[in-house]
Amino acid sequence: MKRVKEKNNSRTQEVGVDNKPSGVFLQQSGQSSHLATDNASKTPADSELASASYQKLFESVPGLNLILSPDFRIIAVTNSYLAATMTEREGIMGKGIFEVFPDNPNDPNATGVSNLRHSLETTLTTKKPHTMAVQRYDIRRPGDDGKFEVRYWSPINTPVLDDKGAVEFIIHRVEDVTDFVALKKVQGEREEAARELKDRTRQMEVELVLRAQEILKTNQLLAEREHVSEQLQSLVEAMPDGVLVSDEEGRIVLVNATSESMFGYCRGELLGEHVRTVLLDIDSSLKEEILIRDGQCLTGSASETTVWLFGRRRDGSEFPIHVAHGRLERKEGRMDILAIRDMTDLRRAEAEIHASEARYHDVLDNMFEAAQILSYDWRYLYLNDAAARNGRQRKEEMLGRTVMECFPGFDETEMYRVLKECMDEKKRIAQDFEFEYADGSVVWYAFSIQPVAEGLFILSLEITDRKMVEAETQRLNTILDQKVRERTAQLEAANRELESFSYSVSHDLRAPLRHIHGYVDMLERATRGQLSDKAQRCLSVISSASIEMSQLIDDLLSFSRMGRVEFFHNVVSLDMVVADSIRALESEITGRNISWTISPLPNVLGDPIMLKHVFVNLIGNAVKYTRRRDLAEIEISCYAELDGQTVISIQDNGAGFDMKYADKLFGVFQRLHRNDEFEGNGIGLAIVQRIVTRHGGQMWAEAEVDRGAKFSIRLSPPTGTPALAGDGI
Amino acid sequence: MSRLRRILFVDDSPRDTELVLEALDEYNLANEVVVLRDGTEALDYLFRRGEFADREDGEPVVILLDLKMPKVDGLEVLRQIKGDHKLRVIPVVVMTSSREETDLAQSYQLGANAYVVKPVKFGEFFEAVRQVGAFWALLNDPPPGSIRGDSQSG
Repeated sequence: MKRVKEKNNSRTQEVGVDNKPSGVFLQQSGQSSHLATDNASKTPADSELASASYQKLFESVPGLNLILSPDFRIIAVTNSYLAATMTEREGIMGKGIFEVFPDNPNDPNATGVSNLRHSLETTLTTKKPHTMAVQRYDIRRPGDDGKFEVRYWSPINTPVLDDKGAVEFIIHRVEDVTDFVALKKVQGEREEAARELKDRTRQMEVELVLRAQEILKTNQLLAEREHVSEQLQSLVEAMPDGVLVSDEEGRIVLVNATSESMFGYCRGELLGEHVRTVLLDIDSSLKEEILIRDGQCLTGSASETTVWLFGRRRDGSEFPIHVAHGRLERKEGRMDILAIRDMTDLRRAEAEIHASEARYHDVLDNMFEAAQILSYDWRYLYLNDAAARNGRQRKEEMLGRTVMECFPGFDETEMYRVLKECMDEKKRIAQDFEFEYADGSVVWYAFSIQPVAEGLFILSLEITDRKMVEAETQRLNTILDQKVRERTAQLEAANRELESFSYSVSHDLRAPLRHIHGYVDMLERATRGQLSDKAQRCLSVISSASIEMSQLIDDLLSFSRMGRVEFFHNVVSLDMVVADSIRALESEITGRNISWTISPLPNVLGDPIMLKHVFVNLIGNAVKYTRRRDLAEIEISCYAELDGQTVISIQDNGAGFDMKYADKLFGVFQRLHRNDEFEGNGIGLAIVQRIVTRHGGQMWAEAEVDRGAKFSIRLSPPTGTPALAGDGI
Repeated sequence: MSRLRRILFVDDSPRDTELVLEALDEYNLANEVVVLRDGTEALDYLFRRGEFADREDGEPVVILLDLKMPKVDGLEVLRQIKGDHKLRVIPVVVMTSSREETDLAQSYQLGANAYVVKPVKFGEFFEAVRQVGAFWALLNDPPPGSIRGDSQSG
C-alpha cells in the first residue's frame, strides 16, 4: 500500500494554505469543455499550453487535491490524492464526494462526512478558505472485503470564484497525517530507545486533536461569544463595586464607572497606571494573601482573596476599602481582577461599636455592682473589681478557677443550688442570698442571674445593711402588731365596759326617775284637794324635772350609741326619708302655718333609720325655731357637686343664731338659745353631726339672728362597697 | 262580777311592784297578782319547787317579766319557760326599763310575746300596765290549764 508522505507534517493547516492553487483551470473529463480562461489575459505561457496539458499538470501536482463542483461532485483529482485514498480516477470522477468517501460503518463515532459537509458548505457561504481540524476519515479498501482503513486527514477547502464572484469550484486539499497520528505505533516498536519521543508525540497528538476540535467549536461559537462579551462588559461597568483589572506588571487595563467615582479619576487617567496609584500596599497585601491562600488551598478551588486596605483618591485623601481579588491565568499572561468596596461608613461604625464596647467594658469593670461570668464548669470567666472585692480574693487568683476552688463547700450552699438550676434550665432568677465566708462572717447579697452563651452572668450587690434594716423593721412590726393587738383588746374591753355602763344607765338611772314620778303622782292622787297651791306646784316641778332627766338620759344614750352601733348601708331615697320625717313631726306641725318648698332629692347610700334621725332633727329644729313666725317658710333643697357628692340643705326663716357661736352648734349640751325661748337639751345636733360624719359626709350651718338658719349636709359617694357600684344614687 | 285571773309579776323592785299593783288595782286585777321578786322565785313557782312545791294548781294567764334582776335574770327565766313544753304556751310580757336593742332582740328570739318599756311618766306607766293586764288577763283566750274562772262557761 502506497502512501504519499509529505515532508512537513507538523503544520498541515499552514501547508494547505500555502499550497493554495491559483489560476488552475480544468477541463472536466466526459463533460463539455469548460474554459474559464480569458484569452485576452492569457500569458504567453498560458497560450502555449493546451487545456489537456493543464489537466495533466494539475494531476501531477504534488499534494492531495480534489476539485469539486458547488454540488460537491468530483471534477478533478491529483494522482497523489488517488494514491492516498486508494482510488482510481475513473471510479470517482463525476461522483459526489460523500458517495465516494462514506463514513466507516464500523465506527459509530465517525464524524468525517458531517464535518466535511459543514466545512464545504461554510466555504460556499463565506467564499473564503475553510480549514478543517485534523479529521479521522476512514478509507474503504479497494476490493470486495469492504473493510476500512483508519486515516487521519488535515483538510482545507478553498473556493474558486467566477467573474461574478460566485463560487465556481472548491479546491479540497488534504494532508494525510495518518502516519503522524499513528507514529506511536512505530515508536512503540522502538520503545526503549525513544520513550521520550513517544511521550512527547502522544502529548502532541492528543493536544493536536483536542486543539483542533476546540478551534472548530470556537469558530462556530464565535459570533455568539462576541455578543456575550458585550453583555459582560456592561455588567462590569454597572457593578456597584469598583472594578480594576491589572496585567502582570500591575498596570491597570480596565476601569469601571464605580472605580472612577470612588477614586475621583477619569478612566483615561488610570489606564496604564500601576494599581499602587489608588490601592496602597496592594502588592505586599496581595502577595501575602495569595501565599496564604495557595498554601491553604492546595486543591486550587479558592478563586478569590479579600484584603483590607486603604485607597487613595486623586486629591490624596485616603479611605478604608475592602478588596476582593481574583486572578486569571492566561497564556497571554496573568490578570488580576480587583473588586473594591468603600468601607468608610462600615469602618466608622465598627470604630464606634468598638469604642462603645470598650466603654461598656469599662463601666462593667468599675461599676458598683459586682459582675461575674461563670462558665458551665463553674469557672470564673470574668470578674469585675467589685466581684473580686466581694470574693475577698485577688481577681487574678479567681479567674479560671472554679467557684468551689475559691470557696470550698460552695456546692453545698443554697446559692449553688439556685445557680445550678439557672444553668440547667437556662432560667433568669433574682434572689437574695446569705453568704458565709471562711472566717464565719455572713453577708447578704442580692443576686441577679442571667444565662448567657458562656454560662451565667451574675450581678450582685451587697445588701447586708438593708437586710438588717429589714429584720429590724420586721422585729418592730412584730412588736407593733403585738401592741396593736393588746391595745385592740383593751379597747374592746373598754367598749364592753362602756356598753355595760350604758346598759346600767339605761336601766338603773331610769328606774329611780320613774319611781319619783310615780310616787309624786300617787301623792297627788292621795292628797287631792288638800295641798296648798305652793305644795301642789312643788310636786309639779319634781314631776317635770324627773321627765327632763329621763329625756337627757335617753339622748345621751342615743348619742353614745351613734358612735358604736353598726350602720347598715342601703340605697336610701331621701325623698322618702324627708316625707317620713315630716310625718313623725306631725304633733309639732299641727296648728302651724308652714310653707314647705321641697325639691326632689337623690338617693344616697346609708342607714335609713340613722338618716331619718338626721332629718327628723333638722326639720324639727326648723319647725321649732320658726314657731314665732306667722308664716314659717321651710325649704329643703339639694345640688350635686362636680365630684358627684350631694349637698342637701334645710333652710328656715326662723330665729337663726349669731354666727360667732357657730362653733358651739354641734357640741354636746351646747345651746344657743335659752330654754325659756326654745326648749331643748343641746344634744340633737351633736347626734346629727355624728351620724353624718359616720356616713363619710360633712355638715355645716349658716345663719343670721332673727333671719333664719340654713343647715347643709354633704354626703359622699360611698367607697369600698362593691354592692354599690352598679346602684344609681 | 267576773272571776279573777292569776297574773304572775316578776320584778325585784318593790317600788315598781307597788306602782304596778296600784295600776292593776284600778281594774280589780290586783288580787290575783302573784308577785315574785327575782328569777329564782319565778322558776321555783313555775316549776313547783322549794317553797312553791305545794302551790295551788293552774298556771297564770300571763307573766309580766322584768329583765334586770339579781341571781337569775329575766332572759334566763324566759329561756326556761319557752324551753318547757308545758309552760311555753303561757304568754310572757317583758316589762323593762331597758331600751337597748340587744335586750329587745334577745327577748323576741327567746319567744317573748310582747316587749314593753316602762315609761318614766307615771300616767303612761299606769296606762301601759293597765292595758297589758287587761289584754292578757281579760281579753286573750289563755291556753288550756290556765287559771281563768269563767273560761269554761264559754
